[in-house]
Amino acid sequence: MKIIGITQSLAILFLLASLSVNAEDAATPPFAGKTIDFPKAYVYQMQKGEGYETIQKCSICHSFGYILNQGKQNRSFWEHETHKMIEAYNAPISPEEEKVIVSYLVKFYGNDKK
Amino acid sequence: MTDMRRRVFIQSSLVSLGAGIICTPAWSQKINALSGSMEQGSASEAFQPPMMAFPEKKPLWMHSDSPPLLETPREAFASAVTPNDEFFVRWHHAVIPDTIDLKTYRLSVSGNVDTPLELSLAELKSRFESVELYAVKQCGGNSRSNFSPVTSGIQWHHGAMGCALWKGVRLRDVLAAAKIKPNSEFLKLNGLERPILPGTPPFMRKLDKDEFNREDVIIAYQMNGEDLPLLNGYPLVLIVPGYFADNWVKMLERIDVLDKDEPVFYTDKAYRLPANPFGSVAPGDPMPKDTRALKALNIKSVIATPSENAVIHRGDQVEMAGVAFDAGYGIKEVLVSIDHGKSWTSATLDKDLGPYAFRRWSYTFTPSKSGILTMMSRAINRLGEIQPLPANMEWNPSGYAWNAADHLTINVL
Repeated sequence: MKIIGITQSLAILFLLASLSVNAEDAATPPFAGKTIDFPKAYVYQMQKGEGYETIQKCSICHSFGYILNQGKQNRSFWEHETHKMIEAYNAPISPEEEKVIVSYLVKFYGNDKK
Repeated sequence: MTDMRRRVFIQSSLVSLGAGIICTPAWSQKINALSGSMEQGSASEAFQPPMMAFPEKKPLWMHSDSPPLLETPREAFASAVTPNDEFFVRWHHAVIPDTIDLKTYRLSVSGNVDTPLELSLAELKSRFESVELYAVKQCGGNSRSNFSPVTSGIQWHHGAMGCALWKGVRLRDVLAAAKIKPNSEFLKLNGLERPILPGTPPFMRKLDKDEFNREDVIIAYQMNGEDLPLLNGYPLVLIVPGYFADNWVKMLERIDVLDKDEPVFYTDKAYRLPANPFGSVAPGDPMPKDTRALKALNIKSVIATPSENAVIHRGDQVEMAGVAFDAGYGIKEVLVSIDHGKSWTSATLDKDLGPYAFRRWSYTFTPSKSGILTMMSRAINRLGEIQPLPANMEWNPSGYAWNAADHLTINVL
């Protein structure tokens, strides 16, 4: 990459600024449509402990709200949910990681129900 | 099926499944529900989602920020029309455009047509006749948190629904302009949302011939007289009156006309009910092999006000109000109870905004004794269909289509 001096950079900036002002004055129609700023990521706080690093993979696709929202559930529930993410949604989770994730969910978000 | 027959159906299922085993807490909870005590499911006890204001929205219950899942507070249903800034939000995938530039935005119609179209929003508005109708949009999983045992999926309360006045153009007019071929059988529709991972099925829906030929299926560009909020699908959303919201594709960008069926994940694998007439299995059973797509809404009413656990003084007048709706047959009556279902009376119905709209209802009473007061609401439509009592509510593994009579408890001092 070519390095340019500060005077040159300022000159280019001024040039660009004047161009854009001119362009706006002349032909460019104002923006038509809609634009929003999504809020910055919310932290759905998960329990820290064994498997915490591995479950970060869940948040590739969805917030931890999806997990907390389920409440405390039994092992077969979490096994089913975790496996569904791999089978149906192609989550990049290895069989070893799947076991770690299920253990984490059962330990921190499990219940004793059959 | 009458309530009595439903009750027998569930009880016999319970007996056969429960034979020889000790009741687990989930089972005993269901049995309590059957005997009339209406405990909430165990789903969301531990987790209260935060209230969060997204752009163009008031603070709503945020089950997830990405994808955004925002629930409307119950009190909003004291009105037949849900304001845009309180209307629920539910996306399937996390990649949602934050900007729609109308200079480049096009709706394409292609596939089994003679004249493929690439329509700008302006062209869509100018080329086709506009139509307006009130219709309820309700997520298939609305009220899921009421199911016991708990089912997988977002534990919505009653706020994944809303009713708006939608303005747009008829889908079938657009298809006619594209010269859809007579042998066309299905449409595949998708919007601009994308999954993060390339291997995740994109959000697409399929409509069959009977559905895409309906004169009241519209491509809407306005909601309650304004442009759609971006989070509700700006600039275009498909409106399928009387159908659950999974059919109402947001940020509609592509209509692909098919001459024969092809599998589409979010119609053929997800959003399914057991194929039997009640769409149900015995509580806790897995999804059977034979399933059917979740389509028409079922009859439902929701109590909006007073607020849950409100404190009321004896002798004060209380206005109980809410909404009722069905798949488009029309609400005939809403029964209300202020003694936990022992006795029922008719609520006053507000004006009819159309067959697919919320029908607002209200009932004013003055509590005469102190204590816990449980009010209930139960709608009946013009076909004579009536909401099941909670104890008789059928169960399905995905927790779709909850429509039991609603209940809400207040404290009278």
